[in-house]
Amino acid sequence: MTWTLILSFLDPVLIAPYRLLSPYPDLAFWFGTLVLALVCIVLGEASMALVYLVNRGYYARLNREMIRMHNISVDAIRQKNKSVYKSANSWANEYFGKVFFAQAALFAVSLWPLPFALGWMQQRFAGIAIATVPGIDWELEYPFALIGGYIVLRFLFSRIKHRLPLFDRIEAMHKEDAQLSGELASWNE
Amino acid sequence: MPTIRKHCIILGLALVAVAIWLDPVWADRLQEAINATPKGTGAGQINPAAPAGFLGIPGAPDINLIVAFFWAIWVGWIFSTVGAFGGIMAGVGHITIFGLSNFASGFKKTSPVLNKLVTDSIRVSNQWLVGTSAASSSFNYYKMGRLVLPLALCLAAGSIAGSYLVPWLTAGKISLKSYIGYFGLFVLFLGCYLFYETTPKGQAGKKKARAAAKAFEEANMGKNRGQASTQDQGVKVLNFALTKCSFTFYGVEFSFNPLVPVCGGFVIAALASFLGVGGGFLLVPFLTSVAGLPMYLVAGTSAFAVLVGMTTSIFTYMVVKDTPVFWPLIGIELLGVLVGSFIGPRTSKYIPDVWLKRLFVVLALYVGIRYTSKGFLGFSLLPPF
Repeated sequence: MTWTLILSFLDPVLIAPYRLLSPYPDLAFWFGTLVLALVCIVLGEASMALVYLVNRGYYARLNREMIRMHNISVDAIRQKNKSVYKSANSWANEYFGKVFFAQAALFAVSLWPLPFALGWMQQRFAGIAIATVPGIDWELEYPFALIGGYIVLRFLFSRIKHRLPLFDRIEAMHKEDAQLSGELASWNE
Repeated sequence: MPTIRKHCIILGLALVAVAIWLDPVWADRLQEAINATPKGTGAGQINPAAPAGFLGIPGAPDINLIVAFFWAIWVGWIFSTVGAFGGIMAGVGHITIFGLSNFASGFKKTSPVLNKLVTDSIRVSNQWLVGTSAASSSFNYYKMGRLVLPLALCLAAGSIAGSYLVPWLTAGKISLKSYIGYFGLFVLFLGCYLFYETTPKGQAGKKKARAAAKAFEEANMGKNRGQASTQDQGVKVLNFALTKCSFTFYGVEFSFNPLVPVCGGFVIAALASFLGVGGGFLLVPFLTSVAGLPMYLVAGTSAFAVLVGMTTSIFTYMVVKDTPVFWPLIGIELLGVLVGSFIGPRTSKYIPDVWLKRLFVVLALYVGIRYTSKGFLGFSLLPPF
């Protein structure tokens, strides 16, 4: 299966929103692109939520161990025990590395529809300027519209997602896990 | 803090978005490379009548997305269980599995410019895949980590210099053969490091560290945490000179040389940018060993440096050096990461960490020896030759 073949299936679906406002080409382009961005956001966020749901226990365990080792290191340094501090801190960092990459993978998961959308738009709209940056005459093309729209919509989506089904459950689970993991001891407070 | 984090995410993504505005310019570099290549059906030639493949180049491999997907599951599995090695495996996919290496090598003599363009595309694709996800997710650590600002600024200064200079100096100049050679050397080095960690000596250090932490935890169970004198609390800088910075955490003295993070940031960012890898996995142990920094501070500081370095590098490759990226490939790889992330944490229960590391030692030695010999000697010491 190749990209050309996939495109032939996707194209009629993805172009449909652009045709809704076809008498107004500029408006139609922006409307279609924003719908595409929204679809990318919902699919990506839902995928991220599913991966989290399936592996919740694993992520919570890593987080718990990281916080536990970190808190031991803080306790040790408060008691001026440098060797225990170093031992616990090296483990805290080991767990931090794992949590870091698990989170990175989760975030990557949420982005998966975006490159496909960019690839489709490249075939459809490459070479068409949608705006020009005043002064320097840089012509902006479809990536500006899609990525710009994606960032703004994703920000707005993050504001309302705790009110949406599935996402509200995930939000509650995050809070619950954070509480169970305990608080990260601070150096300064 | 959450508001600041969100604003930072938006700013970071907006910066990355800026990097891909200038689509027509990429087309120019790609078109120029295609124009500079002799036309025909022979080796090292482009047949304009052939169907367009990778990057829209006529006759280029039309990457089989099913193969790419399965390879990406493997990458995602590693990424979500072991971390760093995921970037290496993504690179192996781009170089070997998808046939880009053989395709680019065919133009080594007839069209070096096309050969080097494919090399740059591989490098920046690796960074897109591994780097942006690592950099973006690292914002999460702002909420629990703090920046040691002077240290973060030293690191960021080094990172910007390294991430800008490397694409600026090397984009369009590194042949695929040399890239493969350096990539192989790096993998070999990583393999040796992983091997040390699996030796009884490497394991003993960790076990001892864990036992010490556990013993301390048990001895202090139920005791009140706030026992340090208020005079000693927090981080206090004792002296700050060009070559030595001493500070105390709760009265215990630590010191580091401020030049080390600048050089370290530069070297790590330059290496990450040159090879097209993340860099975060090198920064964390670096920061821990430079000043014995606690995880609490390492998290935020390394996240900041990774983000700055990654944005600079991708921006320089794509905007300053007009390097094209084949989007569908990145998309299918992210889908693979999705499936890999489902599977990874499930399987990690059954495979002890040390065995995972041993698996990667074998892989790293194989990939490292093969790529190094292919890159620098011109032939592979290991099969397939």
